[in-house]
Amino acid sequence: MNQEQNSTPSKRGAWKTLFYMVYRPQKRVFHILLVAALITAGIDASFTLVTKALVDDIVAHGLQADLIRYAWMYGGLVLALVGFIWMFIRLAGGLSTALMYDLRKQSFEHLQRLSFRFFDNHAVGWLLARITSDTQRIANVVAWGTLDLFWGVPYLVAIFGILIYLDWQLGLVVLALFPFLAGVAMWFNIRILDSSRRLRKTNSRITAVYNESIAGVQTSKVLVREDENLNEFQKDTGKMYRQSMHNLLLTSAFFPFVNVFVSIATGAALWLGGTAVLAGTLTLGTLVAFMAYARALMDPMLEVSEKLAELQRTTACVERVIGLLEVEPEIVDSESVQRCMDRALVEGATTVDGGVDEIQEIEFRDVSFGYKPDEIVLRDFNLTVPAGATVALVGATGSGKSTIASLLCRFYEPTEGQILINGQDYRERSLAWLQSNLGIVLQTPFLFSGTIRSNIRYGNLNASDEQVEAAAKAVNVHDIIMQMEKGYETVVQEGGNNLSTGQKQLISFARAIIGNPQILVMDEATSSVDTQTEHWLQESLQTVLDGRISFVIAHRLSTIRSADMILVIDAGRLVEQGTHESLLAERGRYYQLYRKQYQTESEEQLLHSG
Amino acid sequence: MNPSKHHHRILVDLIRNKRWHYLGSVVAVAIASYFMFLVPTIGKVVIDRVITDTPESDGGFLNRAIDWAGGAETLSEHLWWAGLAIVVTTALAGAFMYLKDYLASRACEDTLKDLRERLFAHLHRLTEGYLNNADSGDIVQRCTSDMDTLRQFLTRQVMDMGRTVVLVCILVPLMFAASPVMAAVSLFMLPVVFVYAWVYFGRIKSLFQEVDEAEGDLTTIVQENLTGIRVVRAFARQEYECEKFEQGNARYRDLNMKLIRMLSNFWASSDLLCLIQSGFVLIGGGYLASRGVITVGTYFAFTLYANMLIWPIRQLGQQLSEAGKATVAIGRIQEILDAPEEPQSDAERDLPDDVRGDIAFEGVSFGFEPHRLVLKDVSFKIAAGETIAIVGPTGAGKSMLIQLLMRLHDYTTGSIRVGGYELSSVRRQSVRRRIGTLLQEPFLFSRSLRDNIKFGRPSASDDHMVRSTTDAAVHHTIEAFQEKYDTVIGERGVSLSGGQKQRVTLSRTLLRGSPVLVLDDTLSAVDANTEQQILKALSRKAGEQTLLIITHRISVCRQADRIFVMQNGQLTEQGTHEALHDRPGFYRQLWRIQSGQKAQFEDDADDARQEGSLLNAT
Repeated sequence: MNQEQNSTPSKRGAWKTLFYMVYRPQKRVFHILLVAALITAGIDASFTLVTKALVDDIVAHGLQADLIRYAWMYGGLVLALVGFIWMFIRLAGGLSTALMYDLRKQSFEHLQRLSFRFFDNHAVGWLLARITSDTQRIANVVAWGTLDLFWGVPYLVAIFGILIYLDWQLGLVVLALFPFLAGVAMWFNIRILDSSRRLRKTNSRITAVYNESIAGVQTSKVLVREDENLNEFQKDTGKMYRQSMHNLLLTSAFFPFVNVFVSIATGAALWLGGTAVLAGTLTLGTLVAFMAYARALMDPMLEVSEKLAELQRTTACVERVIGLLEVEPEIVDSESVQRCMDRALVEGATTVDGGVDEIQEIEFRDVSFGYKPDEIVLRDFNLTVPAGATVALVGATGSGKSTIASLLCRFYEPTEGQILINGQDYRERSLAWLQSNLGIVLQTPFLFSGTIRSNIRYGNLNASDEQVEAAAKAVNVHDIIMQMEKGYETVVQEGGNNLSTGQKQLISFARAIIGNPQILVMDEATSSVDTQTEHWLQESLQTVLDGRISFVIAHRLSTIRSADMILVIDAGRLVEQGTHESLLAERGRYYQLYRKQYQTESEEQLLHSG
Repeated sequence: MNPSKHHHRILVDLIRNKRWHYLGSVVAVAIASYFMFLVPTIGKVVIDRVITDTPESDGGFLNRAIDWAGGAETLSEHLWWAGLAIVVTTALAGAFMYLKDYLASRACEDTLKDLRERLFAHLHRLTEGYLNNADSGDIVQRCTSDMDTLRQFLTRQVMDMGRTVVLVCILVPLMFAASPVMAAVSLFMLPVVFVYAWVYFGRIKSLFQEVDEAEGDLTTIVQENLTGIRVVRAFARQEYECEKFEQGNARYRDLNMKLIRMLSNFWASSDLLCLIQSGFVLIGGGYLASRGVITVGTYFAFTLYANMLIWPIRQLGQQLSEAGKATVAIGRIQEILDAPEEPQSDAERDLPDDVRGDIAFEGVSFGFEPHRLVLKDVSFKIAAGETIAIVGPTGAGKSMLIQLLMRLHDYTTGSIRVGGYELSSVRRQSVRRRIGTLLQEPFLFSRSLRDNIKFGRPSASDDHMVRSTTDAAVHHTIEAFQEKYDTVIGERGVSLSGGQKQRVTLSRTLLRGSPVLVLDDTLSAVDANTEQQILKALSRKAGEQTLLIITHRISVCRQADRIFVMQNGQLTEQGTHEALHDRPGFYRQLWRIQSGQKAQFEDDADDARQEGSLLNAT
């Protein structure tokens, strides 16, 4: 089983998996495409036969030649050809669109099932490229490649057949040149693809340099590095220049090369065929046909070789996408939980898994955890939290506070020990039940693009407009929103750049409580919130924490002081536990942390009020 | 000036610089076109002179060549000459086509390289005012994706379009010369196909854009889902996300299908037009040939000529209607190049190498808007070698002081002198070379630590570098890394803590050596002990190097010769620690907070609660 690791299936394996994945649902389209391509190849090959007959007729009969008949034949072929072209652009285009849609849907939905550990190990940019560009390349290669192969190969075979039929000796001469031609075409196609890939890489490097330069432009100015920076950049642009030239020249040499090979075939046809015509063993029409067919070889040959090269170079994409789809999610509902959920659905139980809805108590029992097997970040953690209690977690960065919160949310599961809800291991409850009872405020607030209203509603999709506003009022953000020109309909831009961090924090706060969660997890943000926002946040906090179990990764004294339980975490261990008063009296670690924070906050107050 | 003309100024300039290359490629493509024309002509001559033995009235040079070589008789015995001629002519056509591509590619790529470098250099000269207000993502996008659009346009569309135009110009007269009737028969569809393609693509332009946007939206959905995966899971919104994705995915699919249907209509119908053209040549030519109006050879040649033009013409129409995209991109690039650069005048001088580090501000006021001054009438004198600590609340104008000193902004009122030289008459680069500054936000480039530290002085020796890292108390930290000074930092390497970054940037500035050193709150993330160690190292240069430290720490202030307190753009207090900590004011408040005794701790909290100013929650 692939435990959230990227598997690397063998090359043929990946293609095979893909084939079954795409072929089955689209079987009919593939078959129609095959037939259409075959017929089109036949029509393409027949055109020159009309020309041949026409020329022979004119040479033989002069004015008596029945041109109308040829006009009908030609017209009929044209109409059939155009009809088939029309049809298979639609078929292949439709196929590629459908494949892209399916692959993207499957990858996206699969990602929704994977656990956090997977996302810890894979950058967003990397995953995004798999879902967007890889799927697109695969879909295009599969659909258009299929079409071009189904059309090109029969077309080539038909031409060879006709050539041999018309004059087998001359036919063999043209045929003998074909392997060279195909070889040259493959050689060029592979090199052009590779050179394009290198070019893209250099291009993204240049983008990265621009990004970094603009971010560090002040540093460069202050260190008077402008000239050296430009010199360095010129190395990149020089590389881009060389690679781009290489790519352009390869492409522009390709066609003349192929053309010369083809002209050898037509030249030979003219020489040998012409001689045969003079000797009376060949008609002029056949000579013309020979020269035309020699040229006609080029099109299908180029298409086929291009698609074969692309197919070969797409293998890596296929492996990556299939590999992604084969990763197995780590944290899932167990089979017994799934059975409970099925039963609950039938019986119409109040909770999705048929368990008790109200949370009376949460217990961490001997919990240890490590993100990697050899690096334990939390050791033998024990804690019992009764309903309604507020737990403040304090300690240095990296001490393991966030890990406790992540374990509680079941983003990760304990490596050892258990987390119990109402005395029951939370792995015996469904993920959906637990997570729908959670409200989370993250340290760096993340909002989706859309309106402020839709962002708050994310916490409870069924909430009415009144409920959205009530939630906003509860966290003191209603007035701020109303001051905006469009109020709740204000559009949050991508990444939320049009709102201050404080505003985003408050909105995400409203989002967390609108679902009236039984458990609230807050990673308090100290930095980047202005004094005013902080004031509002503090004021609302008390009402919000009331009546739920809250885990607060606390920085601010006011929050810490008002907590029912304060836990001091250090290097993955619980070192002190108690109330504000009892811990201060101990004069231990908490006392020191508190003192330092007190100084920081007084200082901030002074520095920001001036 | 006409704005649209103005917008393309850059392109016109760049093309003008390469005009000989472009001219050369036009000549090359003209020659290549002629050879392309010759290939079917050879077939024609062979058919007419040798095979059907039609008396040839016009004396084309091929006919004269045959006569010179011994007439049709000789050729019929040596028909391989004709075969060889076809191969050679094709090769020559290919060679000249390649030459054209070579010249044109050189010109395009040179142009693009120039433009990239010009943009890059320009970015480094933009004024602070512009950079602060600009969206850097947008600037980068203009420098990259708009450049890509331009590159595609120059290297593909312009080259193809130029080729087609020259081809038409060469082939059409030759065809008319060969047979006016047949030329008319084989060309009449050309304008129709051209206009058809041009109009059709013009009309579906908006659909293309819609498809692009739908794809962009879909990408945004995925990106937001992945970036906000914690939020998605926190609210168990996987299903909702799948639905949202499904909407975007289906919308893109449907639009894409619509586009494919439009394209299939176009390709099929335009194919029909082109094939009708070929049909006319085939049947009409056959008629003329059977009537003896044209020779069979001419008939043969024209079936090939017609095909040489009709397909490129169709593409020309499409490319012409797509050229609009490139125009927009060029305009956007031009806008960046038009953004203001830091002004520079020839009257500016360089500071002498041995300039002294005394600094004098006299009545300096500064603000971006006249009624909102950031600095108000600031005057002070600092002797060379003095150490000054500057404290004050956020937004008091401390950093602006430094930015004016570095000439990142230009002061308009008052006077700033360094070593007796009025700053506004000194070259910016020279000022920056003589004043070592650490900006508030430590910025490191994603390259090795060695390259980062030597960033401001690439020629420095490793010994020198180690001296500066030792002074910045970061040498041992670096030595502890596996790759030591070769450790690559940033996205693809090790990420440093805030304090480590600050110390590395300090060593970078120290390595440059300068009579004035300015630290803009640069040691905030460094712990107190390390900070003391660094200050001790810096104090070795006391007396020769003027040191300005913006700080919040009393411990740092105590070691300064003088302390400046800035509030609301003004210098409100100055003096030694001893003098200031007794006087009521900002400095004393700060000192009291930081020196808070254990015993005072709870009392202070009570006081604060009573005043209601320091803490607002109980």
